[in-house]
Amino acid sequence: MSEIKLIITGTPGAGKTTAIAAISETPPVRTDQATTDDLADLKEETTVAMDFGDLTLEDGQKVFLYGTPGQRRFEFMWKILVQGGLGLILLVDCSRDDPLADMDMYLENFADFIEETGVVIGLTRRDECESPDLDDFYERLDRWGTVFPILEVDVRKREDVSLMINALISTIEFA
Amino acid sequence: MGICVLKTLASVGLSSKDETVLKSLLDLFGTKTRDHWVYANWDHADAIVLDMDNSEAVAQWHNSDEMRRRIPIALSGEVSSLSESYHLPKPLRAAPLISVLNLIVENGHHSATAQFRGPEQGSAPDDADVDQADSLAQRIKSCDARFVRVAFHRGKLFLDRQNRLCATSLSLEQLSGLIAELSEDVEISESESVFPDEEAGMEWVADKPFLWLIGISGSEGRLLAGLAPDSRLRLLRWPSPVLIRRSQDFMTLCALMSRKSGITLDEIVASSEVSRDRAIAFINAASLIGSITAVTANAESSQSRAPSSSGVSKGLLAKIRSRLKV
Amino acid sequence: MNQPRISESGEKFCQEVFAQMMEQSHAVYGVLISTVDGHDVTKRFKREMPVAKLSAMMGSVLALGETIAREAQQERCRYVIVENSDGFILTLKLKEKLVLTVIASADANLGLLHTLSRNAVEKLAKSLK
Repeated sequence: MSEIKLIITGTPGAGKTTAIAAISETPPVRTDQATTDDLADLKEETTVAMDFGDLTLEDGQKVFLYGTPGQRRFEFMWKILVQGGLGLILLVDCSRDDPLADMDMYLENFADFIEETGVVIGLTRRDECESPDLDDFYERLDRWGTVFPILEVDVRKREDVSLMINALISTIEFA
Repeated sequence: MGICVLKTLASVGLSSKDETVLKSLLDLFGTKTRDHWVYANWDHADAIVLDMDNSEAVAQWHNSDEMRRRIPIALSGEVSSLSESYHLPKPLRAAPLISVLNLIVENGHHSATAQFRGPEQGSAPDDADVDQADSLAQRIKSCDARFVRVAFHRGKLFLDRQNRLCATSLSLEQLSGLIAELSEDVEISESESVFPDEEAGMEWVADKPFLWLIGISGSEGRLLAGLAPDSRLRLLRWPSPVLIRRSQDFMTLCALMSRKSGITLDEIVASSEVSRDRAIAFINAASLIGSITAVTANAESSQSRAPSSSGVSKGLLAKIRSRLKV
Repeated sequence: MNQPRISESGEKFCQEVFAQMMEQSHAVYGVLISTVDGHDVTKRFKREMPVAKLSAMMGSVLALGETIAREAQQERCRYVIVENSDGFILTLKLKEKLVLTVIASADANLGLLHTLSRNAVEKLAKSLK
């Protein structure tokens, strides 16, 4: 059986680890370490290598969920983790200073992978900050010439994580 | 294109009055449909209007293989109980008849393969049963004024088109039920000024969930004016998860309509398991909430962007969906 | 970004320790202190290397080492060693939030590297707050 890998990336604190924990059958494998910079105001620990969770399909085949570190200095891990991946879930934390720039940065860095597979964008922490408007995110996508799904989600909820995965595989299948 | 085919329509079990009305309507409007329709005996007909309130006629239809080879159009005073692809409410009127005849042509139905499901078989009704000229979605789309009042017999809904707001005492579930019960009795009025007093006490909320529902449930299998089956349509944005999460069809349609080149209705039907009526309802709903646009594209770019790295099968994706219980 | 810094005297002390390590083994050509979440703090390199990138990578590598040990039901990962055709890269935790990395050429003695590194960590841990 071929390996099925889904990659979850996004800004530090956007909820990548939480999303994997919400849907993984087994307790996620984590590589959290203490934060020593400004991020410490937001969270005490951050992922420095990867998160890992899994799902088992009805025939026993596994779907692996890999969460990347969020910080750009861990870009080398992004490149390692996407190898053989089925598609990308990009989480954007809307409570940060410039979520639109954050989205751009990840889309650019994962551009080759996205071109080969697909991406769904999940906006998190919308309860804390409703701006930018959803239309602003779609306007930013204009230059990609295609419409990626942008979904407002609560990654603590399993159904929201399922929705993103379904949107991703639908995009891979039909878009 | 440009070629008009002569089609024939018969009737079985109609009262003499209804039969006279049907013949008259065909005489008057038979040439205004996409193909020309004329009245004929049933054994020479492409389609048959069958009076569902006449049990003898229904039995006759069931017992005749030859008759069942024709496309059935159910005529009944109790439309909501019908489950056929095509039906007409009593009394017979021109607009619904023209719509049904056009729909038969649009669907490319061949009489020899047509299936009829009688009410006693209890099949679920199709989303897009046709019963009148303009669908509810079309009637609302056609309103130009800022304020629109949609009056059902059990409640009202007000739209402020300019500010994309809606006020109503109806829940979405109630509205869904009312639309399903037929839109014939719905009164739609429009005004540049607010309807005095009527919406007093109602809270103005975002109109998208309501317009979406009207598109999904009130399209009756017909695209809104200005949206042609050969239009290349593309989503401007994915509708809210609240609107699309209930149906895998919607997720599929969102993905199909995210293609750079857009996609036509025919291509949607050909490349997915989504029914034509379902696709039309989705397109209308997306249009009502302002989420689609027409695009021009060359043939080369209209192809799907196949994922190159994954090589995953549809079966595998279906298994993932099954695991996610979506 | 507010990155962790050490004092001037702390920096001086670190450099002295690094110099001693390089004197004790000439194969050692790079010593780096970084944070567990991948920021560089201080270094002594005899040749040019991408310090920011190495710092992030060492954070990842050490975290992976600790995680792998846990998954294998082993505890307290002490070192992560990358042995390759050109030498060794040895990484170990230095206090709760810091990582020490020692980079040496292929003619290094691995046992000596271990000792050097462990001794350095003991000295540095006492002095760094």
